[in-house]
Amino acid sequence: MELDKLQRQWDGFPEVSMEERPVLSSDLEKMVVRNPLSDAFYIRRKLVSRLIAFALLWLADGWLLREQWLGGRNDIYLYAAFFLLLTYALFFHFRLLLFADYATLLGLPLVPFLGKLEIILDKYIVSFKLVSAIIAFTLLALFEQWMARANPALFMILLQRDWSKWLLVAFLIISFDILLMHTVIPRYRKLVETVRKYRQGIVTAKARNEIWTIK
Amino acid sequence: MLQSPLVLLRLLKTEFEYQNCHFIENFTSLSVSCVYPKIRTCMNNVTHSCADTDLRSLLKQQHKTVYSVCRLFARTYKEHQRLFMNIISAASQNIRFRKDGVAKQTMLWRACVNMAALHSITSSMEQTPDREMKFKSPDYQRSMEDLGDSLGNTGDYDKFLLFLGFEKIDSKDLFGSINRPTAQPTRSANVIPYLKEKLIWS
Repeated sequence: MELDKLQRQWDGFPEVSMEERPVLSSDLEKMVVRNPLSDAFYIRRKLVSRLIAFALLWLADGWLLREQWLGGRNDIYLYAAFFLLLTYALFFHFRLLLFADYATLLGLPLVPFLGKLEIILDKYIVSFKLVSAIIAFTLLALFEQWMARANPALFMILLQRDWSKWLLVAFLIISFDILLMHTVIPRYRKLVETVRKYRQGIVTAKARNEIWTIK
Repeated sequence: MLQSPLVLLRLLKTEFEYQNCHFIENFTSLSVSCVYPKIRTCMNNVTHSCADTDLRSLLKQQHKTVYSVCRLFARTYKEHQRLFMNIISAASQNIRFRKDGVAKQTMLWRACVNMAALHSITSSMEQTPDREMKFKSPDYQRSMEDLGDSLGNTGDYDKFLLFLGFEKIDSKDLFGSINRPTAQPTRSANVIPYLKEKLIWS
């Protein structure tokens, strides 16, 4: 009965008035080439820009590592660790970019689409750990390079106290991690939670509907 | 014969105006089509412009149905228009990049369902519980209010089913299987849950 009423309302909907008329013809050309996903869901540009930045750092660090290898090798562990970290970060981001595959993402059925979106956002949140570590290593490398030129005597002392350098890296990583955790990450966490709840709602409703259909 | 660099540059500019999205796919296909311009037409009878015409005619044919799904999810004129545009963009993208074996119509309906779901998620995050209905035409406003009253607190899945039922669309390939395992949020090992609860709350 209720459904009949709804059907009547649906069929009796007025023809779209001039004001409400959907944009068509010339606008259609523009509409078909625009990106339908909003910035919150579309992280492709962010991933690409990160990949470019990490690739540049990877090259710079590779060059510094080569200099260390050919020179005194007194700071080789730091640059080797940074090199490995950057290699892993590049692999992680590249894999995420390939997995996201934005061209075909919206063509998935609803439940797998929401599941995939959830995984992409979840991995993106995890990637902030790598970002904080990379920022810490970059700052330390820049600081060392500056100190080697500005005050070589002090730089030699720092090299002799190897533990203080690693302590500084650990401190910087934790600081940047806390900073990102309280500034950028919460809105992505909220988004993931909302997507998860929505997907669970759809799955529950679908399961209930299937049980009713079977009965 | 190879096309001139100027033509290639113009084509690249047009592709960049496609909001830089799907650059790698477009760049690869574009480069191949510029170097070997006849491959597509020789192997396939449908040219690029024909495919575009098909897409346009499909979207024009179905635009009223697409517009009608917005009734269930949008509450203002602006939302209505934005959702409609997003669905059209998503449908066009889905059809362009679809894999073999999936019908164009299915891709269009998937775009409707997925974009409506994203719209619903975004709206629920905006934290405005009682949003007023605002439409320019009084008739449309009344119909929307009546429909809103009849729907009440109907869930989104039921709204999708209503839309598919009213428009006589097959829902088979639109929602996917619910039995497939999905990623669960990672939890730390909870050795003694009741003790942990006590420690936190007492």
